[in-house]
Parts: sequence; C-alpha cells; structure tokens
Amino acid sequence: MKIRTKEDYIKSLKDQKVVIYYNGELVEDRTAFPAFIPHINSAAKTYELALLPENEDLLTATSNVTGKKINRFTHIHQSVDDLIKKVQMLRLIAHETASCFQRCVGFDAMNSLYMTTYEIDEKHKTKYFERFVEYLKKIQEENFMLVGGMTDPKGDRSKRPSQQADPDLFTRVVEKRKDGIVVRGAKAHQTGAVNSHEIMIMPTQAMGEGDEAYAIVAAIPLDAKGVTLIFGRQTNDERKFECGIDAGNCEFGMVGGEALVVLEDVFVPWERVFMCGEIDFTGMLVERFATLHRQNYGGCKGGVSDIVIGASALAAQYQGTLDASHIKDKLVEMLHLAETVYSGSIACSAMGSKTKSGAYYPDPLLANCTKHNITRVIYDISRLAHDIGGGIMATLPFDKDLRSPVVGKYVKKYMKGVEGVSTETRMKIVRLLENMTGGTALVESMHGAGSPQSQRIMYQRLGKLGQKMKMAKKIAKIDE
Amino acid sequence: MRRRRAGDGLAVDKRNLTNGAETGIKKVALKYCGGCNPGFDRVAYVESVKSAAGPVIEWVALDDEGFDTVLLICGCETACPRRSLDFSRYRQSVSIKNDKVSPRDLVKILLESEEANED
Repeated sequence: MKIRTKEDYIKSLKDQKVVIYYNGELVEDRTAFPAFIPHINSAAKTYELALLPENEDLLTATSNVTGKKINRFTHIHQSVDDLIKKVQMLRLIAHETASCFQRCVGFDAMNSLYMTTYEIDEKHKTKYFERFVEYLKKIQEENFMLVGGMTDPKGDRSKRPSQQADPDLFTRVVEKRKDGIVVRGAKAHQTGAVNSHEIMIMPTQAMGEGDEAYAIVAAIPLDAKGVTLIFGRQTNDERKFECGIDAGNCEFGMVGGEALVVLEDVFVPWERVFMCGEIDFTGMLVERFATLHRQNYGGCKGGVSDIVIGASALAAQYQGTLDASHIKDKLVEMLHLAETVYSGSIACSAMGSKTKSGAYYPDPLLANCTKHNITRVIYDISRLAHDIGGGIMATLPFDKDLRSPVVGKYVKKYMKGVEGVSTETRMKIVRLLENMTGGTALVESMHGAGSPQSQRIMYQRLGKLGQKMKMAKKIAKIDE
Repeated sequence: MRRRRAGDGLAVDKRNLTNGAETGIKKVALKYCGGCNPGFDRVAYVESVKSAAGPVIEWVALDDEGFDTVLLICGCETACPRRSLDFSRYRQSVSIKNDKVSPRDLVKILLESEEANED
C-alpha cells in the first residue's frame, strides 16, 4: 500500500506482524503498545507534515528516478539545495516532536547506497545500482519506513570480524544460494526499528581480507522469518504509560526508540542484495553513511534545542527569574549554541558536492565537525537548562500527588511560582525539561551517528594537517 | 509593464494582469516556504489574510491553473522558494517575509488591477 497519512502508516504497521520483545514479553500489537506509541507519533510527523501546504516545500521532493512528487525521506539529493532542505526539514520536524523522529537513518542509508553501488558496479561490473534503483522506486512509491542498520554488536573491539570468538558478533552471510543469501548476526541501537517496515543492513566498518562474508548490504522486511526485535530501555520509560505530566513529553518519544535487531538465519533474495563480498567498498559506504548522518545533527538537535531553550525561558518566567541578567545571559548562550550546531549542518550541506552517481554529498569534514560539536553542545545546553530550571527538576512530586485529594493542596501551594501561572503549568514545563535534558537523551547525543572518537579519526584523515604545517612554515619564512 | 516594490518584508513583482476581470473574483495561488524556523505564525497570518479578503479572492495552489497572482509566505528573510521556484512564470507575485504588513493592506495589494498599475 502507499502510505500517505498517519492513519495509513499505523495501519501498515498493524498489518505487518513483527516479532518484538519489550521487557521480556512478546508485544502482540506494536501500534497499541504504550511504550511504542510515542515513537510512532514522532515518525508519523514525517508523513503528516508532508501533506500540509505550509511544510510541503521541505517535506516533499521530485524523484530523480520517476519524476513523481515523493516524501523527502525517500529522496536522493540532487543538489546543494536538497542537502540544505534536508537540514531545514529536520529542524522543522524537531519543533513538532521535541524528539527524534527516526526516519533520517533509512534516508541516509538510501543516499549512501545510491552513490556507492554506482561505483561498485563501475569497478566490479556488478548490477547492484540497477537493483538498488528498483528498490528505491518501491520505497518512493510505497513510502514505507526503512531502518538504517549499520551498527553491529562488535564483541571484542580489538579484533576483526573474522577473528571474533563468536563469528556472529558482526552480521555475516552464512550461506549463498542460487536464489539468495542467508544472513546471521544482529544490529544494535536500531533507531525506529519497532515502528519501521524494513531494515537495510550494511557493514559496520571497513572490512579487510578474510572479512568478505561481513561485507554485506541487504534490505530485509522486519517480518521476515528469523528477525526478532528487542526494545531498549530508556530513562523513565514507564512514565509514558501514565500519559500524564510526569512523562514530560507524553505524545512523542524521548529518543528514537532503539532496539536490538537479531537476524537468525534470515533468507534474502538476490534482488534485495546490494553488496556481497566487495570489501574494497565497505570503507567508502561506512564513511558516506556516517557523513550523511552526521550532517543531520545540527538540524534535528538544533530543533530539539529550540524547545529546550523555550522551556528554560518559561521555567524562569514561571518562577520570576526571567528578567534576571544572569538568566538572560544563560539563555543567550543557549541560543548561541543551538545556532552554532545548526550552522554546522548548513555549512556542510552548502559545501556539498556531486558524486559520480549524480547524487549530492555533504562536505565530510564539516559534517563530522557538526556531529562532534553535538557530543559537547547538547550537554552544555542541558547543563544551562538545569541551571535555569533549578533543583525542582530533580525533586518535583508526582503528577498523582498534585491530583491527590489529601496532599494535592500542598503541592499546589508549595510548588507554585509567580501569580497567574498555575502549579500544574509550572510542573508541565519542568517535567518537559527533565525529559529532554537527562539520561538517554544525552547519551544519544554522544553516540548517535558515531561516538566522538569516530569523528576525531576523520579529522586526522581529512584535516589537511600537512598543508597547515606548510602554510605555517611559509609565514615563518622557514625553508628547511 | 512590470513593476517592483519592496519594504517591510514585502516584495511585489507585477506584469500585466488579466485574471478575474470578468467575475470580480480573483484567483490567487498560495505558496508557503517549508517553515524550518519561521519568525511568525505563517498559517495564522494567512488565515487573517483570507478572512480579510472574504469571497473576493479564490485561493488555489501552485499546481492549479487559471491564476495570475502568487502569494508567497516566507518565514524569514532567506525566502527559500524564491531561490528554487521560477516566479517569472506568473504575472504577479507577492512575497511576505514577516507579518508586518496588515492582512487588509496585503489584500489590497493582491487585488490591485492592471489599470491601477498603469501609472
């Protein structure tokens, strides 16, 4: 079916029976399960906003393969303008959800594969690009949600995939058949997995000789035989079950609803295989996916930060400190940080270039810089939010206390701030800040799209240190 | 003839207008920027403009036909659609980058006839 509306999206998820475990229990209906509904609501925004005239300029695009109007999350970037619009779109959606909306990962997988399969074919005379374009047409037509499955569990990080004590710690091909391949392994931290339709598995790192079985790219429906999802625990996750003030942001997720996706001897037909053994292109694919994904973070986290800044200002207003000079200064600092990360995403997009396939690619050094800033700046913004919001964020009574016939009157009386603002209103904004600035939300900023060290490795590779040394020598008039 | 005027985040680009002369109802195509980080509530502003216009303007989309005038609602000074869309295809385009122009004044600009532009 073609998914257009939120209702279409939910129905499509309901119709596809996926094996998902939450806290040791099998989930019967993922669309009705309270821990997943906020994540479904977040992802649904990527469909809903595309139908609004006031947002379609960012949420839709014209397909380069069919010429049809499509959801931008299924588009292959055709220009620098497309790269910039991607970032603008992410900031816009974050304003609606105050949370991850998950769909960028599959989007980045598609773009990195479009450009890389083209170049694999050029060298190896394979047919991956042609196959991939057919698959792309299907995604664009049906508008389904794809998980970008890159991260393997990796076991002992000091060893290569083929050297692991358990060979399944990196996802691999265990059998090649005439009609397809059989895959075994797992993908960890998979954003949006429980409310997606398919996963695109990709190598997690550059592979060397002996690792050919691990150089695998394939699209797998999440209801395929042998696929099991195990949902990840999040900070204060069961507050979402109450649907009250304590959840902070009850309607939408805290992070991307990550899950461990286990692949137990899953059969994949050849038409869904886009790399199989080409170790020489694994590094290129990983770098491209990482760059495209790191490009995003100033958009989505910039947008999420806009909500944190607004909530911090409201918290200050509700307690009568908004006009204090130190509060104003802290808010200015938060604004500066949010716009700084957004600038990074725009800059790497503006400096994007055309690949051999015709698809556009952000500047990799600047994209890595953007994500590296996120690993620091979101902590800084959250720290300032905690500073402004006050200790009440950590000690506020329960929502049920506020509504208690016995102690409710005390909560209303003693948790009140300025006149004219109810205690309930103050509690709502404090809980929103707590939800957005602690625990899992921060860790996601650190490790999502790669841990900081992976970006620092890119600085070493792309930072042109030798050129900088030459320039310094020239200025200092050093000849030797 | 072609005229331009600008100020207060308003830009008007006019050519010869014909649409609506017979019926008294003018078709205007409404186009928004994507709204990544707008400085005002674009949708609320447009609702005010529609309310001020009443039945004398029939609002259509850019994909429709039979209109002379495009109203472009942009959330900031960048006005992204002006970079990516070819507005020279339309006889008149009016673009807004903030909500400083009153809805009533904007309706007047949208309704200005060809004759009124001949000065």
